[in-house]
Amino acid sequence: MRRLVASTFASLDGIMQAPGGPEEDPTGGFTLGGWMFGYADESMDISEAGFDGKDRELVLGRRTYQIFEAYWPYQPDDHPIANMLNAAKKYVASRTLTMLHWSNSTLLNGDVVSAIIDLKAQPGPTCRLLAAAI
Amino acid sequence: MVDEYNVWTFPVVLGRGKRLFKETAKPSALRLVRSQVSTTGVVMSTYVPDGDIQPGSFPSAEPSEKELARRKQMANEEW
Repeated sequence: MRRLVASTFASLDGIMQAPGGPEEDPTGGFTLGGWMFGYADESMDISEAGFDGKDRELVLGRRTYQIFEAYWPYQPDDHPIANMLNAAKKYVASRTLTMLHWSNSTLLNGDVVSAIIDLKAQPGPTCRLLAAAI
Repeated sequence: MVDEYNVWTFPVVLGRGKRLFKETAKPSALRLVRSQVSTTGVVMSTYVPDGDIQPGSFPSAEPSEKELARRKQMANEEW
């Protein structure tokens, strides 16, 4: 059984919406997108946050997938995080998408909980659930 | 189902927005296995599941008259 690790950026009051920018997810009238900026320092190990070369299988919700799919494939060829994410195997939970265009992406079909249980039972590296509300 | 949580807590209060744990989240205890703080005040923590929450209560002798009155108010939905 492989492990599922959930990695999230959150505010002190537990909100995880749109850390990276105002256009990321303004749904529900959220106007404070991009709140993580201004807090970067060299102690922040990006691999701890799940952007990791070691465990390359990612589990993404549909909205996170669409944010990433529209960003990471369009970064310069020498961008190390983009290279990792583009190369990583990605499993996407969605009830609405039928086709995925980002490289190495697979849809999780049917009930997401049983799909993830099946995924964990398969051999492979640790799965990373990125930026998901739980 | 989640075996480990990496949560980076930023020193901001947002008030409204999507929550990391929704109201439908199963109540559970977690154990902190690692924690680091950036120079900018971001707390980078790693938690693993640790079973059910074990509620307790401050040890106390007999509740005071005031406390009994307060409980009565609560029972009557007047508190």
